[in-house]
Amino acid sequence: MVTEEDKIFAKNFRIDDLSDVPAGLPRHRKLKQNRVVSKKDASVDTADAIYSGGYVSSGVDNSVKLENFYEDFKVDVISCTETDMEFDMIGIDAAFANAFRRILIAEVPSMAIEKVLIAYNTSLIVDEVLAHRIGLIPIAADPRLFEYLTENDQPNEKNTIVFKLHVKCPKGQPRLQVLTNELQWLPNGSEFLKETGGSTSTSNSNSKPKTYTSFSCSQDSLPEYAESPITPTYLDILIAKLSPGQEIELEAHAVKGIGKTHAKWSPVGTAWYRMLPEVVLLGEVEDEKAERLVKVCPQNVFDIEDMGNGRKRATVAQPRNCTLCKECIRDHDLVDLVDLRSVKNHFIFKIESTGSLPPDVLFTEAVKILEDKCELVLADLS
Amino acid sequence: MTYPRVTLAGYSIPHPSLECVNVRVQTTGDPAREVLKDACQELMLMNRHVRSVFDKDVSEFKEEQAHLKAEEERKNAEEEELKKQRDLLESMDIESN
Repeated sequence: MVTEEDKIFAKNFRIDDLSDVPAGLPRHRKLKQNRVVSKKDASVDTADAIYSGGYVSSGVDNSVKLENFYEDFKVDVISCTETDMEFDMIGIDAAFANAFRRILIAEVPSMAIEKVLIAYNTSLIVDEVLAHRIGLIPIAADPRLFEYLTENDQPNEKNTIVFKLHVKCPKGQPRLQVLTNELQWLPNGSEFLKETGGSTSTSNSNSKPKTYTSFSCSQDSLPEYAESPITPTYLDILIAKLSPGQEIELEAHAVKGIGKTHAKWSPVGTAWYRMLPEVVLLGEVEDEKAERLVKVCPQNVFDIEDMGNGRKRATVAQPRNCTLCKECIRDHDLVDLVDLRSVKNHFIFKIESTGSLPPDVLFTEAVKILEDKCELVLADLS
Repeated sequence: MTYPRVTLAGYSIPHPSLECVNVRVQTTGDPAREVLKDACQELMLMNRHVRSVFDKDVSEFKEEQAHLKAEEERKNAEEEELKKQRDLLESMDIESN
């Protein structure tokens, strides 16, 4: 006989409430959820997170929650110098990591030479090729101190940096190399006079002659550049070679821009990320197999451990070095013993800066840019 | 897509030369515009969080580096002091001999 009590009990019964029923996803499903497994032929389970209701039948809520993100997100800085940086981002989605990478490469602004005013060029390098080369030179100037130069603006001290290059190879001397250390910074703006044209301008003979830029004050007055001049990041880049008698005289104007317009404005040499590799031995790898495994890995991921009695065993010593080259699973007897996985939400980021800003500042700027984009969309939607 | 109120979210770019993105959001009943706004808001908060955690860790890392460097310099200075003392003692020994 089924009593009322039994009916109420059956209605309210939840199997997950029992103490010995495991909570969350079973282990193999969890593996599918947050690990990419690299098999011999291809990678498996590469799909990103399933939608929020994907695991409802297992009683697991897969929706992304802000509080969870606040708790889980971690950053681990491995190394940080003036030019390179390696750090780990844990608990973040691949979409974010990719967004930061793309913004770093294409949308963080920097200064690069845009206009090259060539007064005299008798070198073997053609004008336009010379201008192209000069444009690609990285300049050590903080782009946050400058504004963009739009079509309606005059080039002035807030949006332009002016360099001068005047080199001549004297006769009787050997061939001369023109390096970036010959680029001199002109803090007072352009020195080339603009042609005013027409004879009606005789009344203005007392005023300052017009140049290609209208600097109202010297850029020396900026505190950052009062002591040290603005120079290219590397002073030994070869621009051109001059034979005796050849001369180059030009002025280069640098402006602010983003990598999307032209790669010369990309502030990073490059920026990339990879997922944290996880190498797991699925069984005991002993003696001869262990030695083979250790030898075959080009990154020294595995190591030998003595078990006593002269027997050896392979262990995973440095999984972080693994490049997923899959050499260890080429042999048919090793393929079932090694599992190569990547952790889906742990990214090892590397940023190589070209010198305009240190790499940690570059990353902060990239995140700021993504924030600004969100704000733009929000403002438009409201 | 892992946002609880969303059943479908997608985007498409009709032509690469046009700067235009078509975003489609389908929800479980709430107005789609509101859900999109909330999602953007959360995105912004997540970004701010990323930035603050990153800045904190970088400054901690740099402090550690500075510490380690200071430690090293101190050890080097100590070693040099010891060396000087040793040299002094040796020269005194030679004199007494």
